[in-house]
Amino acid sequence: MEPGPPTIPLAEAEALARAAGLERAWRQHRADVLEALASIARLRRHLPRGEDEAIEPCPAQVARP
Amino acid sequence: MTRPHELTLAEAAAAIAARGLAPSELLADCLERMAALNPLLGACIRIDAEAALTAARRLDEEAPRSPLHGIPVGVKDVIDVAGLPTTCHSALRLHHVAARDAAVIARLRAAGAIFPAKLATHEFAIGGPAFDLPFPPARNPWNLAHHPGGSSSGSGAAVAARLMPAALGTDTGGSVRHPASHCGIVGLKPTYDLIPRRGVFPLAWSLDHVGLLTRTVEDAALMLEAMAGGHYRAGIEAGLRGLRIGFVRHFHERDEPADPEMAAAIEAAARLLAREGAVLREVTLPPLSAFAAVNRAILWGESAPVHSRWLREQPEGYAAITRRRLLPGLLLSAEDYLEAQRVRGPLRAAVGAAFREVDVLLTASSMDPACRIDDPAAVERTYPRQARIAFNVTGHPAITLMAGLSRTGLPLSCQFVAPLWQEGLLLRAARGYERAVGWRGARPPIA
Repeated sequence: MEPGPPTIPLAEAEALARAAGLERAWRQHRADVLEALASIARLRRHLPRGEDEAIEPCPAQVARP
Repeated sequence: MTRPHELTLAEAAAAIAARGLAPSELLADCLERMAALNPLLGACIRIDAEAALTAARRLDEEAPRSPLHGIPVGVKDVIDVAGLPTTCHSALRLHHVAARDAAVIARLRAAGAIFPAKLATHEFAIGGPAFDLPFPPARNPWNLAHHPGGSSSGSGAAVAARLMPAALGTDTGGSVRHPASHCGIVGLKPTYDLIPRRGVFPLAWSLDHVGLLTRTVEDAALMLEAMAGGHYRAGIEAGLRGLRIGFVRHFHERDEPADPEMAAAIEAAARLLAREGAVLREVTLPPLSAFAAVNRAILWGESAPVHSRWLREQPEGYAAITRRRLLPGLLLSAEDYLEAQRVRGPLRAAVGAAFREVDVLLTASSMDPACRIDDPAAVERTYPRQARIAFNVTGHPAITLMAGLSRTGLPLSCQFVAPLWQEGLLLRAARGYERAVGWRGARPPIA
């Protein structure tokens, strides 16, 4: 996914960081937190969505023959 | 005369079985090699010479237990070896000492393997080459100014430079096959769950695979037999004739257009396989971007509980690049994580459907030769420009091996993928290609 500038308003970003318990990271590594939020926004644009609402999450394990 | 460290695993095993080489002789030569080259390569972050020599001398006195008897195996430092630190290449874990062997180490130890070194990794198997950690990053033996790939970076560098014939790695988004691609060796990620993960520090448990790096396909089969049980060598010399190979050209042509030299090497591999009697047809899978997005959401979601305490209380304890890669996990929604897990089933089914028409797949591994290690933008670019991640999402076994050399002398690579649990078929295809292409044994200048 392409890198890009953070698009989330600062106050909203701070609220999200605090809600996630990342006060220290917000103080010391704010650019990293903003980039993390931007990364998630980019992911949401690229993440395929299941068309069928009934599809269940896939277990990692695959049956042995 | 060939020095012991130059032998492949299979050659060393044969020499040990014939009593022409003692495990302690092989180890001593490998240790000498490590002492000479590791200051340049940074592949080993801890060399445990004394304990390894004690183990080797004990093995000198025994009848060979298996082909792994007396073979030095390097261990990525996210895997527990009893009594040694498992640092994950991180300041946050410098003093963590493993109480017991990881399951895979116990199996290899029972087979007679020796563990002389813990090997460099990207911090917690995720960051990237970092210069703000307690240990330097590993470097590429083909050109020390270049990235060896990662996260099993020390494993790739050590095996390619002939510090040891085999090494263990882990692979969550391509981390065994990336260093194999960049270092010109063989990297095997088996089917999900074939190798137990107990005692391996997790990154994302539903994507994590324990894998191996060797210089030849035969050596990979020998390692897999010791790690998983089973008889993987049996059919590897069956050849390519009649093998139905699906060529996933759109991965490197349209989804992530490859460097021209890499693209040419992959296309040449396809032509060579056809000349050797394989039946090639083009296969279309979902785009790489779909696999990559699903992998990323799952990785972020699953790494969050592993790292939440450190990210909240000591975020400065990580290298900057690691912190940036892990922080999204604490901000991701449960909906995004579960949506990725919902889409995972159809992606796995799409790959499974391809195997109704073909026996194995041929794809790109990396889209570019190794970049310079001191170019952060190029390093950043290397991680998404690959076709390995798809098979962490689906769990299919995959192997990367050398497909040529660039004009600048850096390895080019390709990847084979097989149906779930069909490692024997995978190794047969890879061995057939290895024999035909003739890159087996290619040596980096430092070797």
